[in-house]
Amino acid sequence: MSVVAPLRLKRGEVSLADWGVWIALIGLVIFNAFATSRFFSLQTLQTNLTQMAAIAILAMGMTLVVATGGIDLSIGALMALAGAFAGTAMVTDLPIMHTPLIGVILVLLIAIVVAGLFGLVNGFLIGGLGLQPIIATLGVLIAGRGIAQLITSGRLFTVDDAQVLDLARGQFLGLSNQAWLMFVVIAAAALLRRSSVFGRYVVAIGGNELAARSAGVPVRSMKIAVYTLMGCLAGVAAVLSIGINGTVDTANLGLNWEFTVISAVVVGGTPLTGGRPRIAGTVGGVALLQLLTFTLASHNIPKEVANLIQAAVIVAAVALQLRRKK
Amino acid sequence: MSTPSVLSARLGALRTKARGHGPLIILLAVLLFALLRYRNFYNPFNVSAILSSTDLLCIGLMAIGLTFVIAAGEIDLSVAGVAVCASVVTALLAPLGAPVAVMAGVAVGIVLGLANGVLVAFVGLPSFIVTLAMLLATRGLSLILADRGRVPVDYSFPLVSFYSTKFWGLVPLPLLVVVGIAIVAGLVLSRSPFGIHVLAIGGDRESAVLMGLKEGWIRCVIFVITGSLSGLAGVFLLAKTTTGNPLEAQGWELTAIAAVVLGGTLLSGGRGSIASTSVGVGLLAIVFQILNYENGQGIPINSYWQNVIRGVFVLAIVIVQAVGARADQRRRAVEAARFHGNPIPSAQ
Repeated sequence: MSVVAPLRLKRGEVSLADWGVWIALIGLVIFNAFATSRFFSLQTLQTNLTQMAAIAILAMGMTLVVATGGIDLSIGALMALAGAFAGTAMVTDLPIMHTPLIGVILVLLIAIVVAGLFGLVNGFLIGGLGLQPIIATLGVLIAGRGIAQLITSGRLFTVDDAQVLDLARGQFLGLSNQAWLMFVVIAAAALLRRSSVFGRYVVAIGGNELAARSAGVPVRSMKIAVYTLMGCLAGVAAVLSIGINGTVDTANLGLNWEFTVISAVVVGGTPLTGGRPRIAGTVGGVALLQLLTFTLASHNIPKEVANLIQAAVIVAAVALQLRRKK
Repeated sequence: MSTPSVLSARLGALRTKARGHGPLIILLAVLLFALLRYRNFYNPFNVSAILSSTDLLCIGLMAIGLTFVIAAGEIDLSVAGVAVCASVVTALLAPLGAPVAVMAGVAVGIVLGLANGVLVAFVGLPSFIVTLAMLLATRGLSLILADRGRVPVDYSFPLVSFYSTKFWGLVPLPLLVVVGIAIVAGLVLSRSPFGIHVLAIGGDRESAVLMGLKEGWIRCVIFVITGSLSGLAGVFLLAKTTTGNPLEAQGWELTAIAAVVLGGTLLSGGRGSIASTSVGVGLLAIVFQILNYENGQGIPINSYWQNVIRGVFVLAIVIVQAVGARADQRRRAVEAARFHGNPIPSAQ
């Protein structure tokens, strides 16, 4: 039975539930401290921060989507779409695409605009026409990857654009560019959530849509906005993913990422019923899933066994957050 | 009475009758389209191919189970993973004979469904995340069981001949099994106390609990039902493909959910019928087959186009339903306002 938790706990009433993801994360760090050689190194931190960046960026948007009581299954397909357009632009001979700085900004812009437009389609279907989020984004998921593959004719092409590769693989002040980008998006999402009207509206819609509507919250446009934002972030994630892989492969770009991202959000303590986004929790959720993948890989656990362990950890982390029934 | 008014009255009556049967009308329209567009769509070979396709039978079995789950306001993303796990286990146990292997396959489904059910109903975890984890776990488990390969079964395995048995050269035996299960499931959902309780829980769980329904048990049982049907779907999948392949049936959970929704069952729970799910399954299966046909006989449509058309088709039908539901709501509001003599509400 769903129990509505108080929005803010009283002093001294800190619930174990709120710390589930961090407890799991600390447990995993302690395990690694003993079991993984040279775990406490800058290299490990770098690797993990870089590898979690794209997922974290997506998870910020997803936290807000889930906060409205919705869900977006289409983000992997949106990444493929953004990759198809941005990738096609990258391999053209237009000199502007290969101008330093301007080229990479254009690539990012194209990816963000394309994925944002399809996010807008999601938003229109859900906010405007009132479709259920799962089925609307499922339709876009099926059609979207098809469109992406049509654009590239299913070809896989190599990216040798130095700027895009550098954006994904380069460093700035000792941290990878990806990590910096992730920090910026996390900070922006936290600000948006805490101190903007948009953040309050999003929470209000997820808490009780009818009440929000009666109170004058522009439910329709807020929903459209939140799915569009999700799309834009998918565009950013697509460029990062392309830069890391060095290829545009619309068949696999972002494939099944939606499930990883949604798992991270839920593991972080944001309930799928909406109204209670936890940005910090989501960051913890992404970090937990990333560290788990890292741990399993560094111990040479085969992928299929890793699947089982990941499933168990996801369930356990969510179970840790259960509030006692009243 | 002049002719136009008679006509409009007739049309009005027709519209009233058609209300709520949108998906069925679309299905009939699609069938008619196939008849007009392709010279030999309805030859016995093609018809029996559609009737024994995994799009119809395996997705159908999963969708029947999902109707219970979705009607209760839950979701099960693990149906395809469970089916694949069951097909691998059945293939591995084939040397022990078909009855044992088939029972083991269904048992795998029951056990995994029970695990879902216990975690959702008694531990209280959200079904989306439990079944998502189960999807991950079953794929991993299938790969481990199959030792990262495929498990072929011999063509002499009785299950294979069971699947290809046809009556009058047209009606496949497995279709009769699925139809039988659909009828039983339909009766259970709409006529039995259990089915009514499922719908009550999906409609308003708090009230259902206050009425004294054992919602924990009921929610657990629906996941076991879905698990067992997914297990059977896995057995059928093996019978059709003669190989237990851990990488088979990718994304089928989403197709099955789409079929349920296309039929008109709401994902928010409280409503749903096996009849409408059957229409949704049939609609998707026919459209998939038509796309293949169009590719061969009409405009060449590569698999990318096929995906685009599938996605847009699903969206189009759901949009039509949503718009229809909204118009219905408005009509009711207007009628209620007229009845009570209130001012007629304006469109939003």
